[in-house]
Amino acid sequence: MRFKKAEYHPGDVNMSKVITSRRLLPPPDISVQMNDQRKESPPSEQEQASPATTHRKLMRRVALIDGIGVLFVLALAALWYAADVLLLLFACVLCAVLLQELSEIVQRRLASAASSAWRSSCSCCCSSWASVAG
Amino acid sequence: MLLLLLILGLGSWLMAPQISDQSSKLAETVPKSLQRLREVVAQHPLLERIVAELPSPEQVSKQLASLIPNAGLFFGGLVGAIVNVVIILFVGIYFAASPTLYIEGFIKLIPQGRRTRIRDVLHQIGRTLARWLIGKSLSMLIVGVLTASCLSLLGVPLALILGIIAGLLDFIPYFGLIMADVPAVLIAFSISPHLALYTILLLTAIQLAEGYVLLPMIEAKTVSLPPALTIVMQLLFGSLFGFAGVALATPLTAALSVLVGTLYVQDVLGERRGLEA
Repeated sequence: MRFKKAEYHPGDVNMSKVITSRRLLPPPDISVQMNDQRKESPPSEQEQASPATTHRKLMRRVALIDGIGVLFVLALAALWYAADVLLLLFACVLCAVLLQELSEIVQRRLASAASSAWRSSCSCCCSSWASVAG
Repeated sequence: MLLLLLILGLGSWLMAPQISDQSSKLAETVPKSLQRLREVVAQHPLLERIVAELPSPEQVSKQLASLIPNAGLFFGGLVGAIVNVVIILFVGIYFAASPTLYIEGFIKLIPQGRRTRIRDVLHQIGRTLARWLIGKSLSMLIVGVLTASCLSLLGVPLALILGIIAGLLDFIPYFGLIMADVPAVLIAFSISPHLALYTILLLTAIQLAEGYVLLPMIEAKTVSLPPALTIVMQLLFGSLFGFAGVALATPLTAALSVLVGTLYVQDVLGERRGLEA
């Protein structure tokens, strides 16, 4: 279907899109028109599919769902058998987190102690220099 | 990190002879105390039913000996328990020495679009666990020192090892201190029933002080978990994985609550704030 440039036909989807994009008219009900077009258009390949194809698709979907289910059960079984190792690993992670946090606390304390010592020694030096200079 | 390990190693090396001596004495004393308790209780006809339900001293010593080796971690047996501790320490030190290496290695397995979010979630879990662990360590230290000093003031023998047991078992919320009370009361009972009564009163007072004074103060600055959720998770993990499940239930709950709060409540349900942990 071809239209003239400036003409507007009510119900024309493309033209109404142009107009609504310029905020002139509210958008037409596209779904109704699409349904109309579907009714008019010839049946697609999917609709023409034979019962054998449909059956094959259904079987594929069932196999996929079964596979996901089996994988889920296998994952649960693996989790169950590896629970001891996973708990051990979690204990290792807890130990690591605790060690790191404690070392950060010690580091912070040492840094603050060192900085205060540095500041006091620096002030001593400054005052002695000032007295010497004075 | 090296300084910290040095302090920890030196402390445990200095304490080791006393601890090993007292723990061997404890293993001898507890079954004898239980035998004495059975004899005393059997004199009262109303309590005979309770005596029938009590385990024999041999059973108790067997269960005590198998509690830690069969904790539910990977290696079983007494040697396995030591191997578990060594693995936890060494792998923990490796993880703590260069955490970025392992975190970034794990994040490389995630699709690129989700990496920032997963990194953020991992950091949140790390922060939550760190705060919980610091709070719990503080609580364990206070409970252990308080128990040991109060028991020694009361005149209960083996106060040091009983304090250490109380401090270590305080890692398990709610059930831990009850488990720690049993040997202390039994040992006190082996000396006199009055001392056992005073010990029960003292341990109850320590538990109440911990529950109503110490924990709220610590949890205000660290992490607080709903009590019912913690107990349910302890029962669940305990029935699934044994003693290790009970011991690790609370940190697992804290980590899981962060995971559910971020990946489900925030990302899927679209809430601004996740679960409070």
